[in-house]
Amino acid sequence: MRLLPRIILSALFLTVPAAAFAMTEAIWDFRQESLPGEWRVSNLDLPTMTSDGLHVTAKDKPGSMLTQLSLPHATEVISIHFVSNGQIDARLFWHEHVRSEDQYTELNITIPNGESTLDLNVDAYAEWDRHTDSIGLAFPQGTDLLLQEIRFVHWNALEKIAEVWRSFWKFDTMSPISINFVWGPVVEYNPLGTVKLFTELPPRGRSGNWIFFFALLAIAVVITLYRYVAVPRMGMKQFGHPLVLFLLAFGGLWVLYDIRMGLELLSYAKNDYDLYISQPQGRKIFRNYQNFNDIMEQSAPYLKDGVHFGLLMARDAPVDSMVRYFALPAIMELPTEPNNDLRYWLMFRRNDVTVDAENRLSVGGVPWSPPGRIVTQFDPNSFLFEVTP
Amino acid sequence: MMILPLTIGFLLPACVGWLLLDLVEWKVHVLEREEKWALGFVVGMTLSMFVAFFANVLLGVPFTASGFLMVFAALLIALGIPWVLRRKSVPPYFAPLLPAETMPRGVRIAVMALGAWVAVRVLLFCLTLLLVPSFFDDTTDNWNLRGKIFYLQKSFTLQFPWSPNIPGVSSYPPTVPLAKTWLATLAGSWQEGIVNSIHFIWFIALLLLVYWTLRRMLPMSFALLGAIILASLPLELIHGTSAYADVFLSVHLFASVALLVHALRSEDAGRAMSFLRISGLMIALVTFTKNEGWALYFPVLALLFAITALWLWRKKAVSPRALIITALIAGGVILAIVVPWIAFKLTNGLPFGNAKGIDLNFRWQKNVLLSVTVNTFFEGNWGLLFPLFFGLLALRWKTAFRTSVVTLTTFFLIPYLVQMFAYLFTGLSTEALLQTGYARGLIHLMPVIVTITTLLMYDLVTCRPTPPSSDINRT
Repeated sequence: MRLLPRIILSALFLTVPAAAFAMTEAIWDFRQESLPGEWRVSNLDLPTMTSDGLHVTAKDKPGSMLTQLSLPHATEVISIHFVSNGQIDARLFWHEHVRSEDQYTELNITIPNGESTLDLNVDAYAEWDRHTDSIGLAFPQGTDLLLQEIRFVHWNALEKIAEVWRSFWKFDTMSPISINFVWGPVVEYNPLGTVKLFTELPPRGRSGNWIFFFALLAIAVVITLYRYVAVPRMGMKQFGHPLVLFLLAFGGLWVLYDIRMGLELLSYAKNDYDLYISQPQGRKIFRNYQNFNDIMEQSAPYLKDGVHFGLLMARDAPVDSMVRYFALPAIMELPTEPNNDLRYWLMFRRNDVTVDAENRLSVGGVPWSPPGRIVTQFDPNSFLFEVTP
Repeated sequence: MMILPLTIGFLLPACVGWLLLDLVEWKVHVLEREEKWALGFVVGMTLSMFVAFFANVLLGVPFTASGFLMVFAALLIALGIPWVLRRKSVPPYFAPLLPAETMPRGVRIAVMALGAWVAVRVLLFCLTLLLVPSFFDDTTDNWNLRGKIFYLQKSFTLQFPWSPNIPGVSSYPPTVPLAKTWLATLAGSWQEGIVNSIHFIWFIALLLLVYWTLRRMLPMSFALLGAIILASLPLELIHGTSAYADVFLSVHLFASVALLVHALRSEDAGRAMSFLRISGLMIALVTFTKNEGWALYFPVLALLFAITALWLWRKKAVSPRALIITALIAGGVILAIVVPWIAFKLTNGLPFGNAKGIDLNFRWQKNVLLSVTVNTFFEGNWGLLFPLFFGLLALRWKTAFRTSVVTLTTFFLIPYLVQMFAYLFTGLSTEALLQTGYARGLIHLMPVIVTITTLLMYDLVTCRPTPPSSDINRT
C-alpha cells in the first residue's frame, strides 16, 4: 500500500473516538447507600436497603416493583444480579412506547437459588423496546432475595457489525431435526446473543441469508448503474455483460456461503470423531443422545435373541423406539406396573428407580421385580438390572 | 472386515443392472461406461430386491445367503444368456462426441478447487456414516427396523414381533430394508456401518448420473459444476449420507426424466428409442421405491413419457412402428413391476399414499407460506441455490420452456405445485409447518433442480442454448 493512503487511514483511525468501539452500560448498584431509580412497590413487603443489596420479600402475596427509565443510550441486554433464598419464577416487565401507558409487556425469568446473574438478551424479543421508559420486576408469594445490581448494556453500530461477523461463524450441532432442515448462519447483534445461539429453539437471531440477499441487491444496483449510467454517460469501459458480471459476483457470495456451511458440516464430523468414534466404550457420547448408544452397546451382550426386557425411561427422554431397534432380537417391553417375568430391566435416566435392601428393583419405593443385581451402572440414573434365578 | 461383503453386496446387483440395461438398449448402446455402471447399480439393486421380495412371499425363498444368491443367480442367468448370445450381433459402442471445453482456464481451476473442497466433506460424511450408529427417526422406525426384522426372521413380514397390527410403515415398498437385509446377510450379522453404507453408494451414483446427464450437453467444467453444486447443498449431503430413502427415490426420479430429455435431443431414431426404453424401465422401478414414488411421481413421469413419445412421433423423428414397439416394451416393464406390487398392497389392505390421509375440506392453512419461504430461502438447507434457480427460470424462460429442458422444468413444476397446493389448502400443512414433508419433497426434486440451474447458467453465460445433441460417433 502507498504511504499517503496509509497515513490517511491511520489518522482516521486515531481520530475516531474510542467510544465508537466501546460497549456502553448503565449500572444500578443496590449495594450503595442511595437507591438507584425511584421505585413504585405494589403488594410487596417494603424493600429495605442493606449493604448487600435491596432486600425484597413477598411474604403474603405476589407483588411487583416498577421504576421509570431514562438512559442516554438504548438497551440490548439487561443483567440482573440476585442472591435468592430459593428458586423463584419471576417476571421482568417493561413499557413499550407503542402501547398505552398502563400496558406492560412481560418476560418470564427464573431466579435460581443462591447467588446468580441473569443475563437477558432482551433485544432478541420483537416486543422489546430499546428505549423503554419504565421497567419492573414481579415476584411470587414467598420471594426472599437480595437485588444487588442491574446493568443496562448497549453496543454501538461498529460493535454490532463485528458481532454479526462473529455470530455468522458460530455453528449449530447435528440434531434429529437436521434431516429436515439446518438453521444455517444466524446472526446476533451482541455477545450474549452469540453465546446463546442454538441453545434455544428456534434460535433467536436473524437469518444470515438476509446479508447475502442485501449484498446481491446492492451488487445488482451497482452493476445496473455502471452499465446504464457510467458506461454510456461517463464513458467508462464496459468489462462484460451485466448479467455475467452479476453471476460472477453471485459466485463469489456462493463460495463464501459454501465455506461457512461447509465448515459447519465438517464440525459435525469432527464432533462425532472427538466424542464418539475415538472414545472407548463407556465414554462415548453421540450427539444429543449423549451416552444412549454407548449404553445399548454395553447392554448388547446381555440382551440376546429371545430375551424379554423391560425399559423404564425418563419422560423427557423418549428413547423407546430406538431401544426397540437397537436391542433386537431381544424384545423390549414398557412395563407400567411390577413384573416378575422379565429377565432384564434397562433404566434410562430414571432417578426414582433404585435397588432396595432385598435387591429388588424399586420404583418410587415400590418393588417391581424379583431380586437381582445391577449388571452395569452406566451413569447415576441409568443401569442394566438382571433378575437372578 | 467390511470390504468383502460390501464388494459382493454392491457388485452383484450392479452386474444384474448392467446386464438389464444392456438388454434394454438392445442394439443401440447409448450409455457411457461409468454411467451404465452407476445406473446399473441403481436398477440392479431395486430390481433384485423386487425379485427377492416376491420370491419370498410367493415361493418361500428365505432371506438367507443361499436364498439371496439363488435370486441373483437366476437374474444373472436370465440376463446373462441373452447378453452372451447377442454379443456378436450388437454393433460396437462408439461414444458420441461430447461438447468441447470452452471455459477459460481460470474457471476450470476454480471448479476443481470447489470440487476438492466439496469432496472432502462428502468423504468425511461417508466415513461418519460407516462409523456411527443410526441416528434419525425414520431409520430406526422404518428403513433399518424393517431390514433388521427381515434379517432376523429370514423372511418378509408385515407385522412387527411385538404387535399383531400392521404398522403404517409396512405400506412402503421393502426395497431399502431388503437391501440392508442383503448386506447384513453377507456380513453374517447386523452391523450398522455395513447396512447403512448403501446410502452413500446411491448418493455417489446420483452424482455420477447428474454429471453424465450434464456432460452430454455441456463442457466438462460445467457438468462437474452441476454435480459439485448438488453435493455441496447441506441438506442434500446430510440426506445422501444418512439412512433415509429420499436420495434413493431421487436417483430413480432423476434418471427417469433425464433419459426423456436425452431421447428428445437425439437426432438418431435408434438412440432416441433406446433412451425411451431405459426411461420406461426407470419409471417402472419408481413405483417400488417409496409410497410417493407411486402416488405422486409415477403419474407425472408416465405423462411425460407419453408426451415425449408423441412428440417424437409428431416430429417424425422415429417411425410409428419403432415407437409402438418401444412403448409396448416400456408399458410391459411398467406393468410387470406395478401390477404385482399393487396386487400385493390390495390383498394385504395396505394404503397407497403415505400413512396420513388428505382432508378434502380445502381451506387456507395459516403460516404455511411463511414456513415454506423460510425453508427455501432463509435457512442453510440449499445455500443460495433457490434465488439462482428462480432467477434463471425467469431470465432464461425461453430455454427453460421452449427447448428439451422443458421436460425437466415440467417435472419440477407439477409435483412441486401439487405439493404446495396440498400444504397451502389441506391438513397436510403440518408437513410444511414442521418442515418435514416440504424439505423431503425438495430432496426428491433436487437433482432435477440443480440440472436445470446448471443448464440455464450455461445458457446465460454463453448466451446460447445448450449445444445440440451430437450423435456423430468418434472415429
